[in-house]
Amino acid sequence: VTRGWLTTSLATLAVSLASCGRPGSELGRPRGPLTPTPDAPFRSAPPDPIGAERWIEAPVLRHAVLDNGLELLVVEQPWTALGAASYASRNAGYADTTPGLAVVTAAMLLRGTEFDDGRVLTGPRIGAFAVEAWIAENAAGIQIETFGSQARAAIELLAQIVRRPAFDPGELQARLASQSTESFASSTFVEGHLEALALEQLYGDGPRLTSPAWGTKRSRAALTRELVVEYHRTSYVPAASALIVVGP
Amino acid sequence: VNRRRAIGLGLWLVALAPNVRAEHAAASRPAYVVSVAKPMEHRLANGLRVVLQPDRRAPRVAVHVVYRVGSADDPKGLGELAHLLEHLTYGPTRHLAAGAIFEHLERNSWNWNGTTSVDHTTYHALVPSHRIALPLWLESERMAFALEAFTETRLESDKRIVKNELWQRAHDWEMARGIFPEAHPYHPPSHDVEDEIDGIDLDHVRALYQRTYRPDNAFIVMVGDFQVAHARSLVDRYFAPIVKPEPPLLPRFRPAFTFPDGKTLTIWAPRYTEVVKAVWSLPPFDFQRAAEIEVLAEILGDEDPLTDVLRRAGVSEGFTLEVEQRLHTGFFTLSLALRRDVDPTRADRLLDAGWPRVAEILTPERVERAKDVVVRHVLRELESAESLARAHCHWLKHAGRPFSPSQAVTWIRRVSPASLARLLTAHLAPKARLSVHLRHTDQARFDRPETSLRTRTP
Repeated sequence: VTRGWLTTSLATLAVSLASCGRPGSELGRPRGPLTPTPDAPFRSAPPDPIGAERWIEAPVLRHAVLDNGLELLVVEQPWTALGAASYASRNAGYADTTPGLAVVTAAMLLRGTEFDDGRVLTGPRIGAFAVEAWIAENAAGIQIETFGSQARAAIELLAQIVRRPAFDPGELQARLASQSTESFASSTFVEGHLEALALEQLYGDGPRLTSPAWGTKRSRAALTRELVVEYHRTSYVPAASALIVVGP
Repeated sequence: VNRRRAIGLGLWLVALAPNVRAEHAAASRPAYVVSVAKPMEHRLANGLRVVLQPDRRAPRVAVHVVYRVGSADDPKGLGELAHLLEHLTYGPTRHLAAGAIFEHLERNSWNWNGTTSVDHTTYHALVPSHRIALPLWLESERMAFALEAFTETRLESDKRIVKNELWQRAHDWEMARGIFPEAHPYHPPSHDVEDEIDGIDLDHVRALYQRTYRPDNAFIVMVGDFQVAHARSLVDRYFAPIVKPEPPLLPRFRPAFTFPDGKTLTIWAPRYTEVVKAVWSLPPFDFQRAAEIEVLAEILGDEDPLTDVLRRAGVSEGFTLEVEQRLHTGFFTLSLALRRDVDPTRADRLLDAGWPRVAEILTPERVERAKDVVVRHVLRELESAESLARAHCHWLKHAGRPFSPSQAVTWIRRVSPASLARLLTAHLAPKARLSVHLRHTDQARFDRPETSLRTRTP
């Protein structure tokens, strides 16, 4: 390796000696006609569109409502090899609850079910699966992406994650600690930091759209397993949720 | 997709061969075929390489034009010359008024850009398929009719824009200054880069344009909703008449690069978080090794033996991994964000002590799982015309041929615990890594990053 380093240094030195003088002298001066390409009439105007604009033909969306109120949306995409299954709840966003509670609940769904420990789920991959939790102001959910041929297994796993989360107390403490770190990381941009401080000052810890989604230091300290369990019970109910399946 | 029909039509076939251990239930294994038409390749008489791939799934066309010139081709003392040239080519041409190229792109493309990396300059646009000819017209103007419209006024105006973008590169440059010898083309411009930009004159940009923005130094990739014959006739119309300029092609100089053994590079600058990076330099691109690195990165990113050690020691919450490919070299980087007041040499010692444990987790089952994930990444490239075009460009830049998912899957399938163990020994040994310490210094005492390269004590 040392010999490689020496060779590299000597080679670069040789090139730099060869090109010493005025910066850019190795480029030479521009030569010949600046535009050697002959002109042509068709170049003087933008090409006309070819036919009319075609609209994307959206795949057929199939819709059903299960007995428990869960909406089922299925989109078949035969050309793709990958599939995704997503469980989305319109009650689980972070706008209308204690700051930090919705985020920690969504994240905890990936930290173990009654059947699998959190390590398997947060891995975050099981074989070809990618399991992710997502959250927005007015909705949250879990998405699994996998090979299309594994769609059934993915949906079964999704059902376990959403219906039978473990909410292990140790995992909850670990999650709250990492949420604090993430909150800090998101504040390392000066604007983000100032915004968080200003919002906290203006609105305190109230459940408002403008409060930091990660929660504040105070609101995170007040989060308990009981709160998380209750929030999950009322927010991820089938009647306020949809199961979306896309794939071949 | 019907397998026989797919073969009959000459389509790409990505079948995941059941290279599976017996304990995996057959039902849980991915087994399917994906079909997209094969890319067609040809070269025009003027040297322009053309890759066309019909993809009729959506009425859009992705057009990418790549020039083999990047910031590593900037002459010493003229930092940002290639980047400045990229900006200048968005100006007027013989047939486009000032600002017209932006207007056409804004009106007809929902994703377009130009980027200058260390090795390449890429222009891309995604347009509705009925506007397929538009990006070809714009790109042919850029390649053949832009130079004559370069003026002092535009040069000065673009210099201001490029200076405003310098901060975007500052972080990469900070490390690269310490890593690469000053005469190496990957060594970034000096701290006085603004003076270097001021020193660029019209002759410099004209000379670089003539020697690099030319059909024999470029390739074009088109993927989307078109008939190959039609797309080919359009490429011929706009690009075949382009004449190569008189000056010869600019030779590319990229000497092979490896780190000296056991060094630590320390960079002091104001920063929120102190970071330790373990960086390995990789040999020139090789498909099989690239697959091995992807699989290894997947295993480490999934569940690694180091994070627990680092957490328990109170050093860091974990690490991020990055694989970067450049011409004739590459980098495998593991970055740790340190907790407050942690001595970075402690992180180094833990990394050195923990690294051999990586080999212990390379079980057949784990490697198979990671291979599935990496295959999934390959299949994601097939999702849209744009992702396919990007994949073709990546392969053409580094391997000289268009993207082949079936080849990619074959290389991934060949990865084994033994090949990963060989990779660790041959290219990712603890001794061979460069340790980079990004340290914090007070803003008040800060003038410019202070860098030192020292031998690491075991």
